[in-house]
Parts: sequence; C-alpha cells; structure tokens
Amino acid sequence: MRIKQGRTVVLVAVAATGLALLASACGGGGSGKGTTTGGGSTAGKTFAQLKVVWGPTDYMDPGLSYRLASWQIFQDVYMGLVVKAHVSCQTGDCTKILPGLAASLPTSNQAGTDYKFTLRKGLKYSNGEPVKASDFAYTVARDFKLNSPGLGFFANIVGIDGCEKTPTSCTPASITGITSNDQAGTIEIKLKNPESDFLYELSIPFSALVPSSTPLTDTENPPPAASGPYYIASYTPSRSFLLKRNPYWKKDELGMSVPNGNPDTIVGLMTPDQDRSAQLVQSGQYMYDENLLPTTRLAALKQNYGSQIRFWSTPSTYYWFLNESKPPFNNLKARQAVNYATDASALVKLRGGLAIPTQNFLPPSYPQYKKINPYPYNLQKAKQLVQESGTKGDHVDLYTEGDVDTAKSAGEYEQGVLQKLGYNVTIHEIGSANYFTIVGNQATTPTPNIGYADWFEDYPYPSDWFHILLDGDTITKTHNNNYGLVDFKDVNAKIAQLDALPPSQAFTAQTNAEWAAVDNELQTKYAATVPYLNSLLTSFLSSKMDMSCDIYTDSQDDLAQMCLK
Amino acid sequence: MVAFLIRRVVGMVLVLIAVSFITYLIFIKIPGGDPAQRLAGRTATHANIESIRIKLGLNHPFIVQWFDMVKSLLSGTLVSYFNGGTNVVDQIKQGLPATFSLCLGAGIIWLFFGILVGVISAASAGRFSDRAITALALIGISLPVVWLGLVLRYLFAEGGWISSFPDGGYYPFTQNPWEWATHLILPWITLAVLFIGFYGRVLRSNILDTINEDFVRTAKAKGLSPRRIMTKHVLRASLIPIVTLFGLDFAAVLGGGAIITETVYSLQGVGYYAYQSIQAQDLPALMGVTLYGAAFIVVFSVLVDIAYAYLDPRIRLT
Amino acid sequence: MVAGQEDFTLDTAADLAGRERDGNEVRGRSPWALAWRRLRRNYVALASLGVFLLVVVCCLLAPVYANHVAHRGPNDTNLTGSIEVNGKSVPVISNGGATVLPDGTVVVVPAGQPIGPQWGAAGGQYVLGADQLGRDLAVRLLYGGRNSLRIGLTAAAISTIISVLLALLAAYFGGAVDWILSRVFDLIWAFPVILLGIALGTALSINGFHHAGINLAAGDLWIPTAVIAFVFIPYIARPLRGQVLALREKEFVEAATAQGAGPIRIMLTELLPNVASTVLVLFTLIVANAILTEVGLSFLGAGVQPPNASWGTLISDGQAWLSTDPWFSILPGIFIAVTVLSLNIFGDGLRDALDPRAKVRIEH
Repeated sequence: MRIKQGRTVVLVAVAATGLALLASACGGGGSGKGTTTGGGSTAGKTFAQLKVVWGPTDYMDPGLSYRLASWQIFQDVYMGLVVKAHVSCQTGDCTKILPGLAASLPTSNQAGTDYKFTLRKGLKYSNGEPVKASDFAYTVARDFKLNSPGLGFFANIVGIDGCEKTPTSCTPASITGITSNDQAGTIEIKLKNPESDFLYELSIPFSALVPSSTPLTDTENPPPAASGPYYIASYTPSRSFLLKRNPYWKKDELGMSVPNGNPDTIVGLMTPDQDRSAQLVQSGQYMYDENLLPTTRLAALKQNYGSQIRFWSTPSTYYWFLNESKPPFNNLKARQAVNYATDASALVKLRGGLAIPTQNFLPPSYPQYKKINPYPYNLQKAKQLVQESGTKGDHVDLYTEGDVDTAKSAGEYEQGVLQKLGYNVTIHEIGSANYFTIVGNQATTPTPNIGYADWFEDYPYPSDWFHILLDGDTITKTHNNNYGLVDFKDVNAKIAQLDALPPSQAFTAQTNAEWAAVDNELQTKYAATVPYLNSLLTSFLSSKMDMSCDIYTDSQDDLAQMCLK
Repeated sequence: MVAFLIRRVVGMVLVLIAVSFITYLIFIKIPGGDPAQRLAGRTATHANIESIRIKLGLNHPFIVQWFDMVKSLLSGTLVSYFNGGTNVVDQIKQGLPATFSLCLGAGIIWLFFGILVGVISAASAGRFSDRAITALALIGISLPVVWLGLVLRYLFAEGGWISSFPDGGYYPFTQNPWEWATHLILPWITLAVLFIGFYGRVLRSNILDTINEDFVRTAKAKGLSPRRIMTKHVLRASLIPIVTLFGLDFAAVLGGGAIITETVYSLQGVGYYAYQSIQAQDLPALMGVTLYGAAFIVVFSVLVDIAYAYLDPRIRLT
Repeated sequence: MVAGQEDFTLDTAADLAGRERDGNEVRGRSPWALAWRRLRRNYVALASLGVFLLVVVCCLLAPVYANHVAHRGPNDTNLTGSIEVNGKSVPVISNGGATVLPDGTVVVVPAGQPIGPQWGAAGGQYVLGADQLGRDLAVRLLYGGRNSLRIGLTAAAISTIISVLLALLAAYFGGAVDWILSRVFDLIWAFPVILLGIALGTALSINGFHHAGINLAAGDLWIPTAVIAFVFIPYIARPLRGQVLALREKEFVEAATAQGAGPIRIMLTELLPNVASTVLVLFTLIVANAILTEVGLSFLGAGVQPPNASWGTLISDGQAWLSTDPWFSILPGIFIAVTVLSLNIFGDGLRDALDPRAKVRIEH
C-alpha cells in the first residue's frame, strides 16, 4: 500500500495449494525468528488516554482506505477471519497468519480451492450486533458497491464475475462462491484456482467483517462498527479522530494475537505538517507522532530526544512513475535519460538521510532482490539521450504532494532535473489526502507525465509489487495503481506465469532468480520507472511513554500496546 | 426606510445570484476540460464517464448545472470531490467557531486600539508623538500578514525569544476557555496590527478634517470646553466612517480574509479549509467557501448602509 | 528673497501683495509645479522613493549578481555539490544516510541540513546561505523580488488604466452605461480580495488559460498579474467614478460641450487631467497593495508557481525551517516590508504634495 495514499489492491491469483506459503519463512520485513506471542510484556498496562498526531488519510472506511495511516488504526479496529500477528517485526514474525474472527485456521481441500471457516461463538460488534457468518459475503459485496480499491483481491472467488462486470448490482447472494450458515457459524469459500496468498488477502482491512447494517456507501461519520478491541467513535477528514474501547470486545477472545488494548481512549489530531507534529510530541502535548520526522530538525531531534525515537527499515520503494502512453516518456531514450539524470543520493538527503538509495523496484530485504545498477548518475549522458530522443523542449506535467515537505522538495528537485535536460516542466503540487486519487484517475487533466509515488508491501511477495504497479493487465480507469500505464506484453506474461506457480515452487532459487529477472528487465530494458530509494520510517514518542511497549507490527506501531512509563 | 430596505435586500439577492454565477464560471469553465473527466474517487464507476456525467447532471445545460449547484449549496448538500464526499456546508460550519473566535477577538482589538491611536495622534497633531504613531502605523500597514504571523510564532512560540505561547492550533472555548484564549493571542495580534495602523490614520485624518468644519467652530464659539467638543461632536462625526469601514473589513475578514492567519497558526477555521481545498484542488469546496465569503460581505454592506444612515443625521434614507 | 520663488500660501500672501505694489513680477505657477516643489521639500518622501528605487535596481541587477557573484541561477539545485570555504571543502547540503546492519538495527546519520550564510567566505557563493535544495538564497531573494515587483507594478498599472477608462466612461455617460459598470464593480468588490484571488489563481493554475485565443501556461507570471489587476479594479474605479461625477457638473465641462467638443475629447482633455493627481496617489497605494496581495497568494500556492521564486513563495518555503533557520522566511519579509513601507511613505508624501485644498495645515 502507499504510505500516505490509497492504492488499489491488486488481485494476486497465484496458483498454489493453500497454506504452504504461510508455513514457509516470511520473505518480507520480518526475520522469521522468535515467537509469535504478541502483547506478552505490554499487556495489562492500562491507562486513560493516548493522544497521537497523525498524517491525513484518504478514507476511514475499511472498504475504501488503502493507506498506512488508516491501516495502522484498523489493525485494532477491524478484524478479518484471520489476522496478522501483532508482534514486533524486528523480534518476531509479524506477517504470520493467526485465527481472527474465525475460531481456528481454515480447513481446505487437497487442491486448495475450497476453504471452510468456523466463526468463534458469541462475538459482537461495537454496536451490539452479533457477528454473523453471512457478514463476510456482505463485506465483499459492499466492497464492490463502493468501487473499492481492493476488488482485485476477490477476483479468484467463484461467482464473482457478475460483481466484477456490474459492481453496482453486486449482492452477497450473487457471489456463488461464498456460502455461509449463520446458525452453525460456518463460511465456505470456493476459489477458481489455487492461490497461495489467499489467507493474506483475508487478513487485510478490505476483508474485515462489517455488520450487515453498514450502509452500502462510503461510511465515515462515524466509520462502520468494529469487531476489534477499539471502535472509531468519530472521524473528521484531515482533522481528527477518536477511538474508544469496544464495549463488546471479549477480553482475550482472539488469543494473544490481538491484544486487549492499554489505552481506554485514543485521541488523534491529523496534520500533514511534519514539523508541527514533531513539535507537539516534543513538548509533551501529544504522545506519539505517526508522521515522518522533519528533515529540518532531524539532527537536533536525534541528538536531544534520541531515546524516544525509533528508526524502522521497511520493505518500501519510492519512485517516479513515467507516463508511457504519451510523449515524451513513451520514448525509451527519454525514460532512460530521466533515470541517468536522477541522483538518488540527492533525494536521500532531501529525506534527511532516512533512506537508502536503490535502482531496483523490489526492496533489498526480499529473497528475490538482486542488486542492479543500470543507470549510474550521469547528467551528460542523460542530456545526450534526450537529444537523441528528439523530445527536447517537450512540455512535461509533474505531479507531487504539496503538503508533505519531503515529497514537495523531491518534486521540485526532479523538476530541476528535467529542466536541466531541456524539458518545459509545470509542477502540480496536490494535497496528500487526495494525491493518489487524482493521479490514479486516467481522466485527470493535465495528464501527469511524471509523478511522485511510493509503495509499501501489503505482504512479502513480488506479485504485490509487479502485478499491482507495473502490470499492463491491471490498469484501471480510476483507483489505478499503474500510474505510468506501464504495459509491456512480455513482462505481463512473465508476471502471470510466475504468479501461477504452486507454493512449493514460490520461493525456490529458480523462482527467485526469475522474479529478479523481471525486476532487471523492467529497469534495464524498459526503464519503466525511476526508483530511487527504500525508505525508513520513524516513531517518535513523548517522554511519558515506555519505549518497550512500542511494538512495530506489519501495520506499524500498534497503538493498543502502547503504555506509560 | 422600508422602501430603502426592500430595495437594498432585492439588490443584495441580485448580487448574490450574480456572484454565484461568476463563482461557478470560475471553477467550471476556466480550468477547461470536462469536469466529469477531472472527477475522481468513489463516485466514478469503473469505466463509464457518461454515467458520472448523468449522475452529476453534467449533461444538462450550463444554466441548469449552476442552478443545481446553488440549490445544493442552499440546501446544504454540496459535496466535495474527495474525502469520501464530505459535505462542504458541514465543513464550513465546523470551521465557523475558529474563524469567529479569531475575527471577533481581532476585531475588538483593532477597533479599540485603532480608535485610541487615531485620537491620540490627532490630539497631538504635529508633535513628536503624532509623528511616531504615524510612523508605526505606516509600518503596521506595510507588513505582510504572513510574515508578521511567522515572526510572532518564531519569537514567542518556537523559542526565538521565549516559547511560552502555544504554537498554533485551535481549542474550542467550550472545552477550555484559558487554552482557547492563549492559543488565540498571537493570531489576534497578527490580524489586528494591519488594521490598527490603517484605522488610526483614517480616524486621525477624519478628526483633523472635522475640526475645521463649521459646526465645530460654532461649538467653540458657543463656549463649549474642548474636551466636550471632542467627545460629543468631533468624535461622533469622525467615527461614522470608521463604523462603516469596520463593518466592511470585519465582513471581509470573517468571510475568508483571515485565511493567511489561519494557515500560519493552523487554526481549523473556514480560511484553513479554503487553504486545504486549494491544495487538494477541491473545486466544490472552494466554490462553497467563496460564496460564503461573498455572502458575508454583501449582507454586511447592507447592514453597514443602514447603520450609517442611522448614525449620520444628514443622510435621509429615501 | 527672490521674486517668484515662494508658494502662494497665507504666509506669503502679504509679501506678494507687497511686491506687487512695488512693481515686482509675480510669476504664476501651475498646480503641477507647485506640487513638485512641495514634494521636493518633503525629504522623508524623497528618501522613501529613493529606497524603493534602490530595491528595484537591486532586483533588476539579479542576473548580474547570479552570473558574476554567485555563479548560480535562482532555480539551480545543488544537493550533492560542495564549496570551498577557507580552503576546506564543505558540502552545500550535509551528508548522511542510513544503513541497516545484519541484525536488523538501523543506523541513521541525519542529512539534509543546508549550509548557512557564508557572507564573503566562499567567494560570493551562498552569501546568505542555501535552502534545502541547495539553491542560493541571495540569488533567489533578488529574483524573487524581481518577480514580485514585476507583478505588483504591472498589475497596478493595468488595473489603474482599466479602472480610469471604466470610471470615465461610467461617470461621463451615466445612465445605463453607468448602471451596468457600477454593478460590475459591485460584483467584483463583493468578493473578499484574497478569496477571489485564490479562486482565480487556483482555477488558472490547474491548466493555465486557453480561451479567446490567449494561451497561458499554468506557471506563467501573467496569470497572477492578471488576477491581481482584476481584483483591484473596483478599489480604483469606484472612488474615481465619484470624483468624475462631481467634475462632470462643473462649468468648464459645460463650456467644452458648448464649444462642440466630443465625449472623447472632453474625457481626455477636461476630466482626465483633473483626476490625474488622485490617480497618481491611488496608483502608488495600489502598487503597495498589489505586492502584498501577491505575497499572500504565492504563499498560499495560488500565485507564482514553483520553481519560480517570489517573495511570497520564499516565505512559504521557509516555513518548515522556522524553528532552526528562521531567516529563510524572515529575510524576504523584511524586503517586502521595506519596499511596501517606502511606497506608502512616498504615497503619503505625494498625496500631501498634490493636495489641491491649500488649507492651513496643523503640521507646519
């Protein structure tokens, strides 16, 4: 997903036999060692109020939001049939799948195309309604009605075609592949093909159950009722939110995988101003800063408050997307020129050093990552290529986020780079809350020729990267994630082929090498995008907070586990 | 009086209609392109731009669209393109307490000090204190509001000199009156400085002009004390233009003129909402805010006219 | 006491009467000459004009400074370069970065701090320091001034010319013409200045302006110029219209009409010169306000677009650095304040000099 933006979830139809992927070591951010007990040392340290500063987000409806900022909250609010363990990615397996609203992990048939879940008994939402088995089908149908970015995740379910064709007429009944029995509390999901990451897909907010009374429209005021330890009592876009304890949450019901929660209420103030949010935590007015620490004061903060700050490496890549359907970047030489002319180390500096330069699309923590260096910084060569391409002097529209300092400077830097190459650049600085909605809409004018983009893994597999972001087969008119409209037939075919491997072959050396080859081909042969750094994230807690309770899960710091000194 | 009122109200309605039309023109016609094409987010169906157009009535003639927009604004259903289609009117209403607190406080300060400054400098006309005040007033109206705000923030909130003042943000009065006030002191000063200088000069020149009027000479001839002349006759006459000026300035500030102060101090008012809408290119929101601002000015100008007529006995409302 | 060298005031009336009696010549002076003499004696006003012109000249010399002193343009980023200071090589933007150790811990060396003011130490480069993209602040300050002044002066000029025209037309012809034009003024005036500026500025920054044969790209400086000019029209036209309305009734206009002069001739030769002094004073004040408006609009993002610098965008750029490098925002503001103040003082002096009512002033 995007750090500060919704992104459309892409469907990953990997042919496999079910659970093998889950049993294997996770290839992403976690290190695969350690226990899965989460919340052991942080439990029981309750306190009244946790005040946090947050960045703006796109939506607070689990069916629509696709941002780190929202998903970090959702991990304690909206539960799926299964959930990811709420353990630290540094010391434990934070992408391990555990039973959520379901009583245990599902049973499946030999082929891995039929999953059966049984719900835990006596569960209730925060509005008092009982959690029903049929709520899962309702949630999926609702996602279609909302034109959710997550529709792709459900593409492999039998009977989903009607909903895909006409989303507005999608009903739970029309999805024949999902059958549920409310009395028995059972859910059966039939897939068209085996899919090794299907359980991951059930653990993300798009699949989190909402009550069947939830409206079939964007629900933000307040957001839908919750099944987790907290519910969102109120939300004002880009301004504030308030979480309260879910009165119907059964303590320890979901086991140690989802903690009961230490704060009674969580008060959130939203601002894109990195400087201001750091200031609020520094002065003690707020207790946790979700925003990135500002470059302007990073050195001073690190020196004076080093013990309250944590730096996290993340499986993420920041890149410039290039629109390949229109001049000038439909020209290969022009794209190569931009790659040669962009100096990643400069962009790292703009981020205060909280980044590692890269030229790969995949992050270095992946087993499928093989370092490449096709475009070492060379301004001369870049200018020459532009000359040869015949695109010199063309008009370019560059898009970036205007209210996030790091993205704004990056945009202005890149504008300077393009102008040095001889292009005529107009920069468009858009508010971060709606940035990706705007660039993800093919009808936006003027068309973005180049734009800021970032990506954080949904789950640790390259399909989450290539299939969603650079596959010509997944381009959509709105909520598009392939902003550059990258469409190379041979690459599309290769991605499809690798996605369809059985899980037993998903992580072999051969497969890893083939994924690395895709990474290489997209960059070296096609110059599809301009990746430049893998990001670090920061957590800044006030002096009142106990740092050992800062548990960094796959959805970032878990608010429920925070505690006071 | 009644005939005057009716005429003015009718005129007001006409101007508001025209203003809404111009606003619509600015936001829909100027950027060019098809508004349906620029639409993004949840209201867009998968691949059917046509259905978006029909849903928004964009296939209707321009006039009908404008009429619908006005209707939706008045009925409070105008929705933004983003943020899940938040209701623009609701957002404006949510911003009103902050904007009102800022403008009312600043208005009282600038009116009080403006009059004080004007009277002092007029009374000591030609002497050093007058010159000093004039100089300060000139400086006051030459400072960019944004810069003054940042300087005050730096000096008093971020440690440039002291850091006891809060660095922006708005606290509702109902939540904590003390916090509400401390958070607003710097913004009040920022907004008021410009006007104090201006009002001081205007009042000073009004007083000096009035002193030369016949009726003042008559009063002097009658043997009234200078003090009484000043307070009962001169001041009353000189203050009338100030009142009208204040009415209009207050309306302008309330209607969005405080946008810069709100942005610098992160006060979540209507002006700040306008600023966020600029960043997001959220045109319906900007439309709503612009119309709200214009409405304030138009209404206040009518009120000011009535007040002026009431205060100045020479004007007869016909 | 030289004949004919004094203004005709109450103080000198007796002298002049005396000289007349004695047969000395009394030279009449046009109001303009009198005004000029009054202005000449107002040292404060002249000094302010001098300051303003000094600022203008400095900003006009921006390219000279950029090429010969700083060796860097206003938009030339320099994130990875370094300069020679006292024999040592110093990076313009501080180096640093992050490494992930094998056991997963992250080591961060903060980077990205721009170099501070060098004054003369780097041979003219980065005299006032660099901003976070490595651009030379002094160069940007001068170029920013260039843009701000250009927009302010041009907008004020355009606005004044159009307003004078419209005011003359409205007041002279009266009737329907007057009614329509007055409603137009009312309409523009009904919008809060900054909101109208923002509305137009934002709408025009999305795609530029491509109607009626005019083609302006989104970042073109003519856009904020036109917006500001448009917004200030009623502030000039309305007072002027009032003045012309009063003048229209005067006898000399009647006389001209009786002589057979057409409307254009009357407007140009009779009415216009009589409002000229008001126009002049208004123009000066509008320039000051136009500059302030441009600063506000650019700060909010609805005026000058990046990478072009203007004093307003510089203040906005510096906002994030307020707690560590307040000079980024404060310095442009000082320039603006000085420029606008000098214009205001000069405008005051101009008004005093041109004041046709030779009333006894308390100040002297």
